[in-house]
Amino acid sequence: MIFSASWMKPGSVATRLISWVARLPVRVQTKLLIAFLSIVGLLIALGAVGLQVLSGVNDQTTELIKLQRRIAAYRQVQHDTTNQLYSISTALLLQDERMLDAALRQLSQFGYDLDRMEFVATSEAGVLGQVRLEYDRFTAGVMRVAELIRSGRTEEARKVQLDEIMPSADRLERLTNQLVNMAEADMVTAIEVTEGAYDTSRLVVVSFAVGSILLALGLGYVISWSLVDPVKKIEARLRQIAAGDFAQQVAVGNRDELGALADNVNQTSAQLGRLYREIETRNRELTETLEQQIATSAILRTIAASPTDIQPVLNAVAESAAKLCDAYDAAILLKDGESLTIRAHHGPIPIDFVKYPISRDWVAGRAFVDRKTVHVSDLSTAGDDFPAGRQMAMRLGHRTTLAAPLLREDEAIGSLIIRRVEIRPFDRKQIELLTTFADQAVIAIENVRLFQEVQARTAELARSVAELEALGEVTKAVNSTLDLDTVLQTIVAKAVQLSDTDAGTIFVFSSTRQEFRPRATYGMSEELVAAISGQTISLNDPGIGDAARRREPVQVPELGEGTPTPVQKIIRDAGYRGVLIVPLLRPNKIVGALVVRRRKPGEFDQQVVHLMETFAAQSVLAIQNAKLFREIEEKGRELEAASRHKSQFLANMSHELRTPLNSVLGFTELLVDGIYGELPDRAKATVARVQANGRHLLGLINDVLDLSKIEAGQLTLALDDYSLGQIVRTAAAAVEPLAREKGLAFTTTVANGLPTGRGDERRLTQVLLNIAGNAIKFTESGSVDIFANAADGHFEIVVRDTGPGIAPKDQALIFEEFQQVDNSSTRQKGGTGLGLAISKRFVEMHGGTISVESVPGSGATFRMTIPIDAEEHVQAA
Amino acid sequence: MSKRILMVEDTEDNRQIVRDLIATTEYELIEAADGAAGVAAAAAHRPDLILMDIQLPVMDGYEATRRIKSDPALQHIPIIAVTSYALSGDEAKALAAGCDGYVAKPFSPRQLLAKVRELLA
Repeated sequence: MIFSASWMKPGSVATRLISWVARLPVRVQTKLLIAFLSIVGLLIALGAVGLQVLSGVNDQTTELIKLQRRIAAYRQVQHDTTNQLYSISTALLLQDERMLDAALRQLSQFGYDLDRMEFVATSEAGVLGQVRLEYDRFTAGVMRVAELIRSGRTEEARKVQLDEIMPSADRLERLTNQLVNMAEADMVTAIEVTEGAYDTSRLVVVSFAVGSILLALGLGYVISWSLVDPVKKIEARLRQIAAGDFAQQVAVGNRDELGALADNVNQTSAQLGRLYREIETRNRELTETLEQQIATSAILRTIAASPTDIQPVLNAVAESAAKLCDAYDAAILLKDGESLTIRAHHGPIPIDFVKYPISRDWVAGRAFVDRKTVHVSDLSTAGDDFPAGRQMAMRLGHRTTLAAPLLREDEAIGSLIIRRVEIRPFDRKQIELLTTFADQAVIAIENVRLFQEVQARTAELARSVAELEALGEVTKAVNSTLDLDTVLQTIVAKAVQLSDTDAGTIFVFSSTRQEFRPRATYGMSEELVAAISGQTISLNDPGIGDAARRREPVQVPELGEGTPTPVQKIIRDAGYRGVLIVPLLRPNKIVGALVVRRRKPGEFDQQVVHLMETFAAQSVLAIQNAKLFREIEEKGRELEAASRHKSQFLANMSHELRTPLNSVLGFTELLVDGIYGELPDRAKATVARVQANGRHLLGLINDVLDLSKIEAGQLTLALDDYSLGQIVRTAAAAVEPLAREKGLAFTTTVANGLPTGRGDERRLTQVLLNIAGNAIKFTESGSVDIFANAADGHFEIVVRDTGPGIAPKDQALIFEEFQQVDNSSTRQKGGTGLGLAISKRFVEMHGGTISVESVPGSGATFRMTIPIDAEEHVQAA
Repeated sequence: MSKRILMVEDTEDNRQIVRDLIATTEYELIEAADGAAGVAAAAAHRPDLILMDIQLPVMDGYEATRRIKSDPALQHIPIIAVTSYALSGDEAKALAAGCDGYVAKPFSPRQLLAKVRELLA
């Protein structure tokens, strides 16, 4: 916005005034308030003066009225005198009493008027005294006349009137005239005074009015200029700032808000100026950096784009170096034997050599030798310092020259050189930049070298991976299939593929026939296979036999030299030239041979030989595996037959044992039952022992059968719903008589509300019977208690006795077959020693556990946990 | 008329035990020593109960049972297999052949009698 002043420029006085106002250290509104109050004060004074003038005029007017009243009073007195004269005269003439009374009454009126006159004209005291005196004379005269008249002394009265009253009246008139004149003179004076006061007051009022206006204008002018001027200055300054000029300051004397504003503007301007300068500097730096980065990234792109070709990168580096270092040209020279060879050049200065010997005599050479940047501002005056360089400069026309070495791990591999045809040294930045470009050239060269190395390494790795994969496949074949032919086929195929040959054969050596027979082939026609199979290859064979005997690989690079064996002749006729034979060996044993053949003659690589040895080892393993597997299979079949025989034997034995046992047990029971008559006591006891032993034998037979079936995996659980309470009752009913017989306390405690279980009720009953039976059997006194409970999806059955207990070392043994704590107890207590083993098997088949806790001498506690919902857990036999 | 029991059993000892056992009861015992004789005896005597051994000469107990059970005139006669075939599955086999009960040898004469009484009651 452009601020324009509509007033003319202030004069010098006004300027001082304005600057004085501007410098007043008060706020703008305070200044305005003071100006306003000044004008208002002047207006109030004007009003007061006006009022004063009005009041003066009013006083004058009152004075004038008073004067008029005086004049009127004087006139009244004159009039009264005249009237009195007239009345007296008339009375004299007429001698009428009424007239006389009237004249006397007038006399009192006259006295009254005189009093009034004295009242209004107190200032004229002297004259008034004379008037009063005269009046008194006059009155006295009149009174005397009146008396004379009444007394009829008319002549006398007339005389008095003429001599006394008339002159008195004249004197009165004269006196009153004098008063009137005086009053009129006062009036004229008063009027004059009034007129003068009016003029004065008008002057005063007008002066005040004009003064107020002038003051208002002046103050307005001064104050507005004191505001306008700094604002204009600030505005002009802001325009300069907007135009980018930050150097100027606003010079404003104001010590008010505008002063503060001007200070702020000045500070802002200074700040902006600093920022602007900083930004300009930064911008310049950024521009330079950007240019370098663009060049660098161009070079890097080139490096990335040509990982195998160094030339484009060197060209790009030379071009960028010349451009960004503001040189006429740039060249890259690389070490090539004892010389530096020009590899890239950009720019118009010619170079008339391809390579130049490395020495300190020229700039690029010295940079290379010293491994330091070399800067020569004028080569033509370099004298003997750079003899070769000076000659080049004279010949080619360059003057200022800068060279940087290309350093790879502190070793110089070349130089980067830039040149100018005039004498104009390169600045620090350009020298740094050249070093950077030198580094980039090194990176590019390194990159290409590494890339080539990586390629070589990758190829090597790929070959290794292929070998490993092949070996993996072979190993997999060896491990996954037991078919020897498949494995050997795989091995010979992979061997041929990886050895880069055309055909292969695996021979197996028969130790009985002492000859090699082909077992697997690859890449061979059936005729060829048949032809080789028709040959007998013995250990004396100069090829395969020789390799096996010497226990090391044998290769024939060129078939046909020397005397070929019959087999080699067949092979040669089939078009093969090179043969590699690797024997298949075990310690002290020949297993066979792996043979690969190829159509073109030549030595086999050592690496290939090693690889074939690995394949040979795999082949040995496969042949070994196959043999072992055959043996295992035979063993398996034998075992199976044995198992079948065992089952049959058990069935037969069971039957055959039961038949005689039936007679033993049957007859003894009949004897015991007294079918054949009462037995003598001794016979009875003997028969009872026969019966007990018969039962024991039966128990043994049953347990052995159970165990055999469990071990053979033939015994399966008959899973069904069962009641644990019922199992406990059944077992308790069976063993309770024995406990009673021995005088033991026997209790069963079954928790309420046990769930229905799933399992083999008969087998679980058998288990509980066995354990509870054992407890009663081994406990001589005290008690046997059974507890049945359920928790966490399991039944828990505990059998606790007060028997002799079981020593800790025996606690694990008792669950094994034919183990009792004391073998002698078997005979004493009966029992086969198989019960706990069978019980443990049954519990485990239900997925449960059985354990014992015991302290010898303090009884034993057997604890069984059985899943409420048991699925059959098949045990590995 | 007392009830008749046919015993088919090839072992003399076993026949003796049953004979001595039944002698103490009101039942009448008929004996046969092989399967074929057993079938014939069943047809001839129409016993009230048959105790059948399984391993028998001439004709085994399974076959004899099947024959008796396939004869409409005899099939109502309850047959108890009394056998030394006491391995798992043997009972099922006997029941499958048509037996009504199964007692494994060695048997308790007392218990056998209880079973007989139960079936003849």
